[in-house]
Amino acid sequence: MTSVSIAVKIWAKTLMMSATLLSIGFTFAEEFFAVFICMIVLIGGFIVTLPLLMLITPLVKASVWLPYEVPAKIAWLTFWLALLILLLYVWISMLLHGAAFEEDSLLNLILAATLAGLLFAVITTRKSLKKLYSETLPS
Amino acid sequence: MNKDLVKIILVTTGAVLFNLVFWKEKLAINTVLFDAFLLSALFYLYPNARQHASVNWLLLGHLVCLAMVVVHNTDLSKIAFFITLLLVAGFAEYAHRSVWFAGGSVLMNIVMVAASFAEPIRFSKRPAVKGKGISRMIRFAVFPLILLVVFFCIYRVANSVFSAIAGQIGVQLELFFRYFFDFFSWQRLLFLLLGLLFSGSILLKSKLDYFSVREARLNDRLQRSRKTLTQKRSNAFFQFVELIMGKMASGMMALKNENTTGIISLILLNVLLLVVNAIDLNFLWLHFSYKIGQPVYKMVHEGTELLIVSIVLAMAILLFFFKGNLNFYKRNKWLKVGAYAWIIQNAMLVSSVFLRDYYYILKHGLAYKRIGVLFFLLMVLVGLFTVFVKIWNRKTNYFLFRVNAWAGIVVLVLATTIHWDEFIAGYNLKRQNTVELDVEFLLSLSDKALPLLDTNITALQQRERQLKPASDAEMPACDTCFIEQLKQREKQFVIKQEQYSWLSWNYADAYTKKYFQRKKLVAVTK
Repeated sequence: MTSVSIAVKIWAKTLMMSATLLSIGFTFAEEFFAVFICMIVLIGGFIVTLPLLMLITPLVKASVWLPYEVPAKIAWLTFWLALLILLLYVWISMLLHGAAFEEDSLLNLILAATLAGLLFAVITTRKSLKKLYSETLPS
Repeated sequence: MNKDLVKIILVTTGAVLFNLVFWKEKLAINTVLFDAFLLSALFYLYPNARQHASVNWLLLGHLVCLAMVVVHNTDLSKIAFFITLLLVAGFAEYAHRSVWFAGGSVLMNIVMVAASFAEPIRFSKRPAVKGKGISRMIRFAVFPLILLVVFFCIYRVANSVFSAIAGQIGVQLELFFRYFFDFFSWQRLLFLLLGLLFSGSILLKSKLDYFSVREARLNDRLQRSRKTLTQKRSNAFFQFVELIMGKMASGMMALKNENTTGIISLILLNVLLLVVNAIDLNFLWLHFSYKIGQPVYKMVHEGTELLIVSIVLAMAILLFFFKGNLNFYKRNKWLKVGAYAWIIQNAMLVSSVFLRDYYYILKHGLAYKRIGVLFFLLMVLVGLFTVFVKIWNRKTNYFLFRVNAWAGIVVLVLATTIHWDEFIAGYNLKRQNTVELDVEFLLSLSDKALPLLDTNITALQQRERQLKPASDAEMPACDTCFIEQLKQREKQFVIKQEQYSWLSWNYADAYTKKYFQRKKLVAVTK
């Protein structure tokens, strides 16, 4: 198990889960066309957010060397990844609306879905993370 | 009670309190409430901290800043409040003597806050029952959920009754989330997170004590150390010196050669600076006059910035020569004399820069940058004095940076005790006959200066008339432009004040409000 493979897992799961959650939301809102858009966004998202792996991988690597228990390490990693997502959305919102947060914006919904996706990704990658932490003990 | 649990409770309480007292309010009397809680919690969690003199002195400085937040409510007092609070936490939780290292430890607290918060929470250590883990449940749910979405879409299109029921569920869900986000808006949730981050950074000590361990190895007194050539060559800077000096840098006489180079350098630099100081003495100290057609700002701006750079560079040169064993070299007398002369000459250069700034202030009045230069010069003087002490008493660079950082903190705390905007406005308006009033700048000062500007309204009007001939001829004459701007500021102040509760009370705003209430402005705008 390597830091890169775990970073890829977290990244891919977050993307897929956030797309799934958005699809469910749009299905209830009778926005079938939006579901289709979600699928495109999912595929596009994999390409567009690929450079983020350059930030996710060092964070996973850094979490290995923290002198904390495994749950605390995972909490630390989740916190910084969530902050990364938040900053990304704030930047997008600044570009689109000229403000960090715009009320009733679709972006808020996508942010919520991404954060939920991240939680899902970290929870389902716990075992791999534990394995990585046990394999690479800090000196 | 378990101390770990207490930590979690205190940090969570701090976050909630932060949310309650600061949400849509400005830093004012509410800061006292939050600070009282944070400091009580900090000294409860780290009871031995109060025994350290540095903690007590910092606490005193912090309380001065807190008082100034309530009294003056300036941006400077708020920044100083945060800096001193973070440093109190750094010194209370770790063994530090230097502000730099304590700052590093606090930075570590901030970076590690999530791990420090989660660490005390005892997660269940029971082995997961097969088939009952959350992870497993989520994994099982994903594929059926995707199938459900696809078929849901198909049935919804095919069956109108099913579509209507689903639509109603959708509306209810939308309403639920709308109410939920009305109560817990994104901004509010993020603000709560910010409170958690801030309280956690102050109260939770990180497990990484990198900076305290590093500082423990350092001391004020310089020790003579022998380094082999291989050890020296591992340093990139030594490699650079060796490239220029050749064998003179690495041979048996390396120290002697270094001493000779130092003496030659300092003699040349001293002669050069003597010429510069002699010019300053003649033109600036003895025969200064404002030249017609040559603006004063040109003289100040062109000179000051470069002179400041030269002074800082001068200190760096001395630190280079007195970094190691040259301090213990028996024949370093002339090197030391050269260094002292260099320090004295730089102190004179500081005085010349001060004089330039003084002449500028005399002509154009006070402004932020001009006051900033004065503070910077004060810090440079402290820096030069500590460089002298370092050479005289064979102290380390650690001593130099430590003492200067403490001096910086003292200056910062003292600087908060003055309301600079009000001071600038008062100074410039008092000398309106000798100083060229920059009314645009005066109107940009904070609200506390408004009463002062209001009482000097005729001076502003006079300046407006003076500037009129110089302005564009096509522009309509405007006798009341500055006054209208001032009135606009006053109205904005009143509107802003109406949005705050008692939590944002501070003396500066209360003073301005009372002034306008006396003028019945508040009643008019309401």
